[in-house]
Amino acid sequence: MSDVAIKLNNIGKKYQLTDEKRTLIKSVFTPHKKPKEVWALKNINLEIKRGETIGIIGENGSGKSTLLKLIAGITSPTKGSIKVNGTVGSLIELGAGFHPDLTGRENVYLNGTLLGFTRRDLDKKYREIVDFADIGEYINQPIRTYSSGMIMRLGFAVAINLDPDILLIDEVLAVGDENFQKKCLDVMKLLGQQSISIIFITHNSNLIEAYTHRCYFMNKGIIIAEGSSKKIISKYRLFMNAKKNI
Amino acid sequence: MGKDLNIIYLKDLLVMLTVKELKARYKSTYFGFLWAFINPLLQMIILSIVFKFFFRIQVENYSIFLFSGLLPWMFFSLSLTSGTSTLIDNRDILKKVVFPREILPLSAISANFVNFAASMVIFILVLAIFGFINFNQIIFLPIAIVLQLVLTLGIVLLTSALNIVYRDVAYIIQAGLILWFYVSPIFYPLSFVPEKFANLYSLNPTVGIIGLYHYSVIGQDFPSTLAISASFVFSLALCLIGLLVFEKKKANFADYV
Repeated sequence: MSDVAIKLNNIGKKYQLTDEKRTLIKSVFTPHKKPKEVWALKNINLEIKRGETIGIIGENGSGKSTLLKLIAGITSPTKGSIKVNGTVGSLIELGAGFHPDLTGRENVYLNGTLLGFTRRDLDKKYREIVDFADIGEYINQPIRTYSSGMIMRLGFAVAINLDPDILLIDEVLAVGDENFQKKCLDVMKLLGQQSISIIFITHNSNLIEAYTHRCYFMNKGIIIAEGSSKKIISKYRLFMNAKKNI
Repeated sequence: MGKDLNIIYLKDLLVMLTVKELKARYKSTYFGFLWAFINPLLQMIILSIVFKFFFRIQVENYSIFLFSGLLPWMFFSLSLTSGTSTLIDNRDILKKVVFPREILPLSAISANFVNFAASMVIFILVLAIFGFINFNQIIFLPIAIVLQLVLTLGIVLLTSALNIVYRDVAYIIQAGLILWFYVSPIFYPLSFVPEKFANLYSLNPTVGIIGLYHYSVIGQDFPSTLAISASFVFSLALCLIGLLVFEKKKANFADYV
């Protein structure tokens, strides 16, 4: 395997803005009106080596999440090329496919399968996942009886046990009680020491400083600065302060 | 392990989503699966009464004739309705994770297929007990089922991919199904269709399929070559078109939901 985990080459992502949902009947009978377009990402170049932990910082709406969606493969770019070596795990959206009427166990299998496990993989990992989630006998209850913290923990436990080569992390760490948060951060540190590449997005500059070596600063869909986390964070703080003072 | 799309993984994913669909549907009902059987049974009884006693329709074993067409029709119509909106209904997972998108329309169909297959088995067992089943005819049943599955899959691939962009496709399908029911030989036999229109009528792909069901279950006349060919050609063509459209659109499904 090459030592580049992710390479984005001149990526652009365009979205169409429509005020109302389009209908087939209307589009057949009325002349085609060009919908408003907006570029959520422009000219993004980014390279991450294997085993590297990097951060992406920026305000809400700066394009961070769109970028992660492209890397995860949930949507495709309008322009440019993406190269991803290895499997991508994501802690952005936890508990995909969770159904309230199914038990914790059934949901672990459903969610795990959607994330790429086979049934056999899950049989092997099941104990580990349940132990990590730490929800006791509730595992055989429908998850509509769970607290929201318990649901998040269960989702997190499945995702973290996927053994990905590349891990995308959003600010999900804010979930659960303090004990669980510590557990998650420990796992993250552990993963960072292995050959896993981690992309961490947040607008919390303290977390970036504590966990990443290198960082990208995004604003309005473009990368405006890149470099060592220390340098970038101070730039980011200056930028935010300047904004506040206007 | 991981995201390599081997056949075992695809099978596991399909089974998992199908079971979820069925469990979610029946978990809060008392009779569970039986509803899937009661529904066509009730329709059959009502239609039987109306056509036998009000219209005095002259068809041998009319109730059995009716049921052998109604069961596949309900499978068809339920698959089209739930399949068309399956991408929207599962927007949550579409936006969150990457998996082969084709699994969603497939699982919408397979969940309905489980119900259909179970109903069909019960129906045929009952008929067999009363001596209705003829082995030389029933061997055509798998052909009817495969043909219907290909047609259903083709339409659902097409309509689900369109419905994610144009939300009225689901309504068009609902209205279309009502019309389609009346131009399919379900509550009347093929011989009722005026000679003048027989060829035109046979171009409808469900004519050959329902005809095959009628032949294999109750030994009605074998459908015409034209009807059978039309079913084959349209089913395959629709499946191809559906697949092409779906494959072209699938990379950006997450942007529309």
